[in-house]
Amino acid sequence: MNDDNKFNKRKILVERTRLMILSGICLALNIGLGKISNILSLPFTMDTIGTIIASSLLPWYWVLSVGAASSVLASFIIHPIFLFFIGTQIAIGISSVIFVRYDMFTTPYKALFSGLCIGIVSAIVSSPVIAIVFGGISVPSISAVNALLLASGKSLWESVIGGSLVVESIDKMAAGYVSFIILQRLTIIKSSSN
Amino acid sequence: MITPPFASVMTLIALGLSIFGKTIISPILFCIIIIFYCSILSKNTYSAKVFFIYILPFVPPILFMHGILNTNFPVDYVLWNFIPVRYEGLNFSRKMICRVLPIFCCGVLWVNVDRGQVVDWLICKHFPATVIILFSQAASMVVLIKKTIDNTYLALQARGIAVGPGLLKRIRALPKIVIPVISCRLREVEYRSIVLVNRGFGTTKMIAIRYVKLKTTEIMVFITGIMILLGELIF
Repeated sequence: MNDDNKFNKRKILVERTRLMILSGICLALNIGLGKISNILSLPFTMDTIGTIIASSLLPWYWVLSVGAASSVLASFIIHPIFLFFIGTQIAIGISSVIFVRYDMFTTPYKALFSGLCIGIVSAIVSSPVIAIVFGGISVPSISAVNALLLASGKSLWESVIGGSLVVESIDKMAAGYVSFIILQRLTIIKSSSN
Repeated sequence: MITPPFASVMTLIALGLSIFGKTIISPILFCIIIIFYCSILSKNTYSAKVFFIYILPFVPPILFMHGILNTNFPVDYVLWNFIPVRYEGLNFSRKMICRVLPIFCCGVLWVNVDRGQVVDWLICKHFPATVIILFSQAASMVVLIKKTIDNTYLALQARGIAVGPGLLKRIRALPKIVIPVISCRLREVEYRSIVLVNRGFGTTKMIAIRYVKLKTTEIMVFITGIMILLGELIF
């Protein structure tokens, strides 16, 4: 009986540690995969793939912590600007958990649609930060579109929302598609495991 | 190296300056003190370089965007008969720059902090073990991921698999790099968790190797920072 207790306790401990390490890896993927965009000179960043993978592997509260922790860690490792986008990462986490729960990463079209929706959510949440804190300056691609819209006579808010919507939608659609490919290859999608 | 408690209190002062700051002098003075202190400690100009790397994607674009392009501000002066200069836009940019400069400066401070010391400090401050493990595992894993990406990219090139030129070819090459990197790291989950438990993680209390406390010079810089913040609040 005592041995059984010990065994169960250890099993729970291993499981908890496994979740912790898995979250750490997803968090590292959010930060580290940006290097692929650099070496392949791709026009999109891949800072949400870790969160999307986490949403299919981990409980929802771990996904949210992965999202929030990504911003905190990225602000230490990459640029302090990332700290302000903690809300965006949490919103991405929530939406990806919802999409994974409804099996939206099972076909390429569903994945692209989910990516588009995540992009819209991300744009809506990050626009106030870009407009209020940074005066319209964000990642170079968004800043370029914002500048173009401002020069055409749109207000700061219109430009920021427009620029973020365009760039984030494309970026997150790409991230959604890449996540779909990864989830398919790893055969970890919720529906296929059932 | 900078100690984590100093970096964290200076971060709070920087946040105060960004929120309550009105003048241009205080954020610039704060940044000069921090960069100067970091440079003296490290005996090189690395901190100044990092600071410029941080501000370069922000300061010139915002000045260009609002001082020249933003048509919401009136044109006050036309340079060389074709560049419109908008003083209101430049003033708006100045306000934005003053707001974020102290934050960027704190980024430089945290770059100079020893990561081992951060873990010790977090343990001393009774942070949950889950948070400490999450951050420390992720920080170590980021380096490994970057190395794996480099190796996979070189291996693909050596095998003659097309990774460019052209956007389409580069996008097609993406899964060939991403999947080995992710599967490689996910495989590590199993043995890393078992190794941690076998080494006693979760069965005993975490103890810091050393106790981290503020240095005398850091206390002096901290007092200067507080004075700058108070000056900004009072005057």
